[in-house]
Amino acid sequence: MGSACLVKRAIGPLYHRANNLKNHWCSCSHSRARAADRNSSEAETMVLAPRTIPARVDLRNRDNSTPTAPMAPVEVAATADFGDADLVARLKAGDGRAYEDVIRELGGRMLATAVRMLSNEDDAKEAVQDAFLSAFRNIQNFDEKSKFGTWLHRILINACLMKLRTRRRKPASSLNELAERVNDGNHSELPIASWREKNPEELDEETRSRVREEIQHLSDEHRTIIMLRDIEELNTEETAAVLGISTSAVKTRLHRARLALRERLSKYFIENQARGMEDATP
Amino acid sequence: MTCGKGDQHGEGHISCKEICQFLCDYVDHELPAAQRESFLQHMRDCPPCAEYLRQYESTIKACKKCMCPGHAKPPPPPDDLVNAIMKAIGKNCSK
Repeated sequence: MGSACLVKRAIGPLYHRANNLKNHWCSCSHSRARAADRNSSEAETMVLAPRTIPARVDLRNRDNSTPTAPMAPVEVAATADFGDADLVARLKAGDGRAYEDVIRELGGRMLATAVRMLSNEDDAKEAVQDAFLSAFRNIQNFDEKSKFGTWLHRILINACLMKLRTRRRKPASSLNELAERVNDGNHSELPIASWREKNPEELDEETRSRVREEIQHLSDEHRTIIMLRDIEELNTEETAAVLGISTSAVKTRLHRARLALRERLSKYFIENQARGMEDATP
Repeated sequence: MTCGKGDQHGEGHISCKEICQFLCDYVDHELPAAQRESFLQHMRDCPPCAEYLRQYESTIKACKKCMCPGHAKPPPPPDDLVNAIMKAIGKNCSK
């Protein structure tokens, strides 16, 4: 049995649908690179975080089990791919220095993504470790149809999802029920209080922080779908493949997640508006 | 705030209920042209739905603005993480 078969057997059934995943993932600042990538590949079999990831080194701070505070977005370089062909050749040749170069070059961006998805720095570090170890372990299967960074980030997304599945889930809030009602009936069942948020381009730091906080307070299911579709900018099919659900389920879940977030933000903006009016009253 | 018409926007017109179903596809530019036109017509006729759409879009924009990375170089990964991964690789290689 060839090594590729062994890898496929090692990958849990949860991820088999991901073989249909189009060969692209990139952060939202990489849209052009992503589009170029999309043209260059069709059927690369994705190497995902297998169940047989080599043992990671424990970095967890046992005294700090509280969730990480919502993290401000880490600014990401628009072109994180660096000398792909040469780098991949060195990795495939087992050049230890190349491993470290990759970790130092892409690790920061990966950690930021993982923290956004997992809301916990310890979990995020473990996911990043898992992703790198999985990628290095399976580097021979990387056929270079996509950029190395793109491939690596997809592995990270899967490592994060695996973490979310194994840890205790944050239950969906009652807002989930609210969203259900919207889907079943008329929008007018919902209070559509008028709120005038500031232009998103001009949000102050307090508001940004509050928005990040509200996102982190969503259920894992809702936060994940928003992260994948609105932040990491996977398309519907890619998201469906990664999550192992249908495209219509992706749309429904995304809609409900956005509604849940809208409800949360709505409360904040209405309060803020009222406070502003009070302050303006002589 | 309600539009007061419920689903009574006339025969052949898209209803408020359908608006909810189409909202996601509309903002993701996945709504077919014919439905898109009906959707926009409804928005012109129904201020509560228009407000609802505005808030929905604002939510997505605020989310992206607050969570999306920009274009600057990210901070390097912490040394403990780099060292841990290198150590794990070493362990793996020595097996």
